[in-house]
Amino acid sequence: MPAPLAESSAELVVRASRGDSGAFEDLYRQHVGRVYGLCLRMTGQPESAEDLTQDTFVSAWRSLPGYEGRSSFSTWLHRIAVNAVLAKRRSPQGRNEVSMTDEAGEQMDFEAAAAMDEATPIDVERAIAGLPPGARDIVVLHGIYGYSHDEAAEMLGLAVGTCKAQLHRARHLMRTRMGEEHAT
Amino acid sequence: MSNRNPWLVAAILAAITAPAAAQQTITKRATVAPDVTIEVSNVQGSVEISAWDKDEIELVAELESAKDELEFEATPRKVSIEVDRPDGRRYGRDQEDAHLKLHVPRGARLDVDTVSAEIAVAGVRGPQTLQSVSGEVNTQAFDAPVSASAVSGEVTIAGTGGKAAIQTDNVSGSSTVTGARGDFQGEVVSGEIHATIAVAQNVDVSSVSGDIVLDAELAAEGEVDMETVSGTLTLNLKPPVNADFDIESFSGDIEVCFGPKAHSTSKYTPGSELSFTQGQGGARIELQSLSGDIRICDR
Amino acid sequence: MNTVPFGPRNPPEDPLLAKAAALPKDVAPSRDLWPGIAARIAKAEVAPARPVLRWPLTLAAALLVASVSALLTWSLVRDPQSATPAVIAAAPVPAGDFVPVSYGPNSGLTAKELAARDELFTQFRGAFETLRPETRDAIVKNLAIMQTAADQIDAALARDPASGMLKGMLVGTYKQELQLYSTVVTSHDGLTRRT
Repeated sequence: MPAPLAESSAELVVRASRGDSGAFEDLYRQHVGRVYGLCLRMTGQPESAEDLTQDTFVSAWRSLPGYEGRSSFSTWLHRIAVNAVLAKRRSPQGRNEVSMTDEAGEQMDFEAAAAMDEATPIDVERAIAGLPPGARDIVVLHGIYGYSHDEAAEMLGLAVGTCKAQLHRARHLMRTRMGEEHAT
Repeated sequence: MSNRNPWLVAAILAAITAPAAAQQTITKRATVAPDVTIEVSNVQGSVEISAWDKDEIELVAELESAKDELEFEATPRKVSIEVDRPDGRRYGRDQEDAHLKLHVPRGARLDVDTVSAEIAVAGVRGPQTLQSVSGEVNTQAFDAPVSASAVSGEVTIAGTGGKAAIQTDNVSGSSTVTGARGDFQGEVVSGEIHATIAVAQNVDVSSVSGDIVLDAELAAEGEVDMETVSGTLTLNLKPPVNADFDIESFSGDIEVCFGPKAHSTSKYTPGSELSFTQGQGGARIELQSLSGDIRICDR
Repeated sequence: MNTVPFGPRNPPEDPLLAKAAALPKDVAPSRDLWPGIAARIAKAEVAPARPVLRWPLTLAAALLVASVSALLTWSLVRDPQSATPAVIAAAPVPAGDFVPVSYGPNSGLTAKELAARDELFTQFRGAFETLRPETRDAIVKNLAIMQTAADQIDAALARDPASGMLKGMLVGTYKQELQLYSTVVTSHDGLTRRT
């Protein structure tokens, strides 16, 4: 990620927190890809991810005065997004929606996000998509977005030990799945 | 209320030096709401506020200078008191003091700022914002938020075990906080922070070069954040400790009297870090320093 | 500023996780989601003001940023030549023995944040003159301490530019600087909360 993005976010945040929705739209355009990317990988469902992305930005608009700049704006948005994803999962409506994988890890249909780089195998994206939710969350936060164990644990509301265990399980499942892919 | 309080009130009030002969003595009274907002602004001398059980405010102002003007505006919901000193005059030890002594309802909300006047508050249970440049700031905390700041003055906050969220800000002065509970936020440049906090829920302290000593008993899901550039961070935790630790120092030493030893962050960057869970985990503790040393112990 | 190091650190050693790390972080949704967001925030009330009691620093900084915006357009900060003489007079170069803290090239502080600090410094400089000698002394010494800290953090950032901890410390030092000026300015005789 180019560093100058973070700089202009700071100016926009100051203006947006004073009610400037034009500045907030600029922030949206700068950060929507990253927020949607997270929601998409955590839910595996484009429509759900779109709703959650909108929820995230609306919630961010309301909470903007509380943003103290302790973490980067992008990370702050991710925290809000993770909360939104987890809240939806816990809701009765969320539970009724078809989940991408059930807890047994059976993979269902999934359209992976298009790889930007030819060399990046699509099967990694699909392998992640095929993980059960707990394991998938940690791979998305720690593996894809680079948050540390502690950061990811805090965002997911779990103990660090639980996260490490989920990661271990995720690695095992992914290796198996990617091994299967190659085998067929 | 604890038995220590009457002693403490007397000790706080005794800290104010007795005024010299006053050029003007002005007394003001007003009937006010129990949760009246009281704003006080003074330059030099003292502001002494104590609580009483009347829905009334009483101000006794002793101004050593004939040129100082006292402003007093009161409605039942808000009282504004200000000592005006003509512009352009420089302040020094030989300049005259203005001593403001107030009695206020116990639930009053206080907003006090001074340049060099000492601020002493006793028994007031409403929210407080107290600010001085070089005066000492001295108050008690009960259940409502208390925010105290000074540039070179010392800040002393005596908590009473209530749930007041406490906030302190110093530059060269130090903050001493005792009997706190729950939330504490402290910032200091070169002065020190000494804080004792029970049921530490949200604790956030930082210094540039000053040393910070925190004696804390953690709440189950409490969060403690300590940060310094070159000062020393000392965290004394009441056992048993159940917390996830995340400690990082660019070039300082990390010493924890329990748990694993710190290891190098990576071969590419200097510094050491230490992440581990003690006991059942639950609380979250994060300490960071650039060159300052970090010490954590549970005994 | 105290809770910091959020964001990517060292790359994961595991080859599987390394592949995950190589996946695109940005994914564009199939449609523009902004209109839906805009409609919902238009219904909501304007972002509420920060609570004053708990964060006097951010209130002061916010006020100063607002006043800087009023005095100086963004283009002025970029190009001082375009200023009218009256506006230039409003922000004189501080004379005398000390200047605000200088943050190095790795700070990440924006020009606008520094402009807000400079504006506050100008007001602070006036109030500073009226303080007692020992107080002025303490302030000058502590500004030097902050400068040393800023230099040390900047040097550390040059070696470890991705460190969220270091960036947070630098922002923290900047905020301490603002807090110092703000305390002196708002305590200054003649400048009351009511004006």
